Amino acid sequence: MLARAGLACNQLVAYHRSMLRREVVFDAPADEVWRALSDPAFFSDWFGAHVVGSLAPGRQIRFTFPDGVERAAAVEDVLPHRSLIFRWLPFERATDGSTRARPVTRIEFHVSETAVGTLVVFIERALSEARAAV
Amino acid sequence: MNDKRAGRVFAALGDPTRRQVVSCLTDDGPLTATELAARVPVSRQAITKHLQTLAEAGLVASAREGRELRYRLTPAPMADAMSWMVSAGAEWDERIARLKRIFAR
Repeated sequence: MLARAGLACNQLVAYHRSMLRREVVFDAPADEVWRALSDPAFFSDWFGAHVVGSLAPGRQIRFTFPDGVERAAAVEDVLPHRSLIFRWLPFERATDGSTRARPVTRIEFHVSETAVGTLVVFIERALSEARAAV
Repeated sequence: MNDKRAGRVFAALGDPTRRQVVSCLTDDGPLTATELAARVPVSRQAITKHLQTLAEAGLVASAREGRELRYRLTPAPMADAMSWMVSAGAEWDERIARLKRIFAR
């Protein structure tokens, strides 16, 4: 059992180092890709939630998921056509108005052009409570 | 699946010294803070702080043995963290699939 624990630990560390990371090349121009990632109206088409708010540092974006649950995120950094970073706030609101604590994760999109298309790196990183306060 | 706990597990394992502590507990079985300080190149005081963080993440438990506490690994929360990784990963894969369909139009 402990040997499996060691293996699980190594796997987790490997995951953690890479965080949750996906690198995808899209067959679309970089400005089209950037718009899909940074314009809340387009964001709503693929993220899996209806999104409202402006993507500027310090501002909040509000997400409403198909099951009616609402959650907000704080925009941390925007480098137009390059990167967008936001952080989930630590709670969500259910349809009956009750709130529930949720873990804080930071989501990053990094966009760059390559010879074969537009590369987007998607990162989701779980934050400790202490760092989440920063 | 408790994903708040998963966050604590990731934070706990995010520190290389704590990973070393976990590694020692895996390899050598339950150890005291003194025994860990002999294996990991930080002070006993630092070890104790790290053990506290690991305990708060549910990754270690302790039992009193004479004047010292002996710590053992309780790896179940790692399974929670792994589950979180898998389901969050699946969510991103769905998002990426939707994005690809959008650009394919």
